[in-house]
Amino acid sequence: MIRLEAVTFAYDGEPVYEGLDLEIPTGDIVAFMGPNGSGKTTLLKLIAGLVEPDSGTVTVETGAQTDESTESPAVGLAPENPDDGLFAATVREEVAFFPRNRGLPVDEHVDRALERLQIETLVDRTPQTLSQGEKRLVSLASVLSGDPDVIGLDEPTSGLDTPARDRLGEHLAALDRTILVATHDTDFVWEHAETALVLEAGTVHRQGPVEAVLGDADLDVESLGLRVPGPVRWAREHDFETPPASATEAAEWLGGGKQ
Amino acid sequence: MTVIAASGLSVERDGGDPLVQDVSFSVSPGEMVLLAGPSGSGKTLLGKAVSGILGPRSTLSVTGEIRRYGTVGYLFQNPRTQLVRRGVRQDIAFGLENVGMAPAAIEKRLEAWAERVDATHLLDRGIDNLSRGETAVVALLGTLVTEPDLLVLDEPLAPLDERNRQFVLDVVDELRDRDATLLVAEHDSRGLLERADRVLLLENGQITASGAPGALRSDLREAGIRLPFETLVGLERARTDESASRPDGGDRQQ
Repeated sequence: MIRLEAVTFAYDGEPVYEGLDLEIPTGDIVAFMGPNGSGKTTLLKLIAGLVEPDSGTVTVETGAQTDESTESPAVGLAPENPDDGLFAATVREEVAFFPRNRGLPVDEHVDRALERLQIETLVDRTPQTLSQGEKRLVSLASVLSGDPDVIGLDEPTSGLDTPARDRLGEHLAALDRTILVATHDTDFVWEHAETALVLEAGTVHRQGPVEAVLGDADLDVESLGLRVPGPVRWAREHDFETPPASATEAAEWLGGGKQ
Repeated sequence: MTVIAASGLSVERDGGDPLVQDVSFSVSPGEMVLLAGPSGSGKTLLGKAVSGILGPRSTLSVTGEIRRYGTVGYLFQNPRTQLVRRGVRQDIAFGLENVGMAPAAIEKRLEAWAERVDATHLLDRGIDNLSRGETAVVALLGTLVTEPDLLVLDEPLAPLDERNRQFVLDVVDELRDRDATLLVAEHDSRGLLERADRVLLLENGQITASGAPGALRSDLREAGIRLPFETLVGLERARTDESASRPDGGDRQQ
């Protein structure tokens, strides 16, 4: 469980959180959503230990820990702006940094991360010369390669085309880790996340299963700076009770496959 | 009549593969062209090359012809990089100060544009206290006040939440109403496809398809461009209908 108790945090006197209490289950893909400025990134940084609360406590406990273990769980964070995290001369060096620091077999972890995101061809390139979408993938690979207990991804789908976005979602779903995704991409959340946490002005507006939160007709998703996921919007417009699993299924329903 | 025309344009990394290869296109006044392409297809390089801001550098060579019949304003993919001053008002004024406009005229122009795009409330803020969407709008304002003949927007919607996304799309609508000429690079066509007059599809540095947005939906999907869910459903239905009408069998054949 990741637990925040009475957390207060401010940037230069501007409060972000004032007495935030929050429990996040581990082992899930959890989506942090909310308008720009609602505190998503700060929450990721607090959990990753990149910033300390002004008061209150942040506790990260994962199933991977044993009672005897004194080490804190490893938390990796891919920043919102990939340029903020890229520093090595080559993509291979960049992606090798985290597993090397954790004492993991470097080549194996690097190759796997590059392969999963299908960016093997970039391996000898200089990260700074890549396109923004490619930088995003390298930034993601450099966190995934370290296989941390908690993976924090800040706007991971921003700048990614559809195939890359799908590959990322499938890879995350196959990982047995706690994955925290701060995002505006409600379609990605709908397809790949299990738990939704909607933040608004430093408070938790809603928390629950993704289908229950983003599929709730009574929740004014758009007033929270979010977009109703495509399948949910489509089902409402066509008077279907449940959203279709895919565009193919939706087309079948329209063709008479579902009453 | 064109605002910009590129002919046989290539961008190559020294000793490497071509990043943009033999691209030719033009943009007419008042037209909005969507430059769609998957990640790494060369959208940003092409946009920068035609805008004249690629600049001489040791690692890239640009060949071919680019004709510009007017001024170009450019919104960077990470708009924060183009904000140079602490205050929003001062930052937006920067471009006009550089062309020697009088302070009173700058102030008038700046207020007028801020009002047009509904951003007056941002003028007295500090640039460090802006959200991502507000940053994009402020950077865009810094370009708009110079009243360029062509506006190039590089993935203007990518980091934005729905509210800010709508804010930027409203600005695009306002510019369309004013007959602005726009070249917008994006891998996510939602919100832009229906606004564009024409789409250029860029894959591996080459234009592989171009035409009216409605005619290119299938090509865009195949290229990995993000489309609205309802458009994907429409494409699936068209595919089903097509296979059902074939004599050799289809989904609906008994």
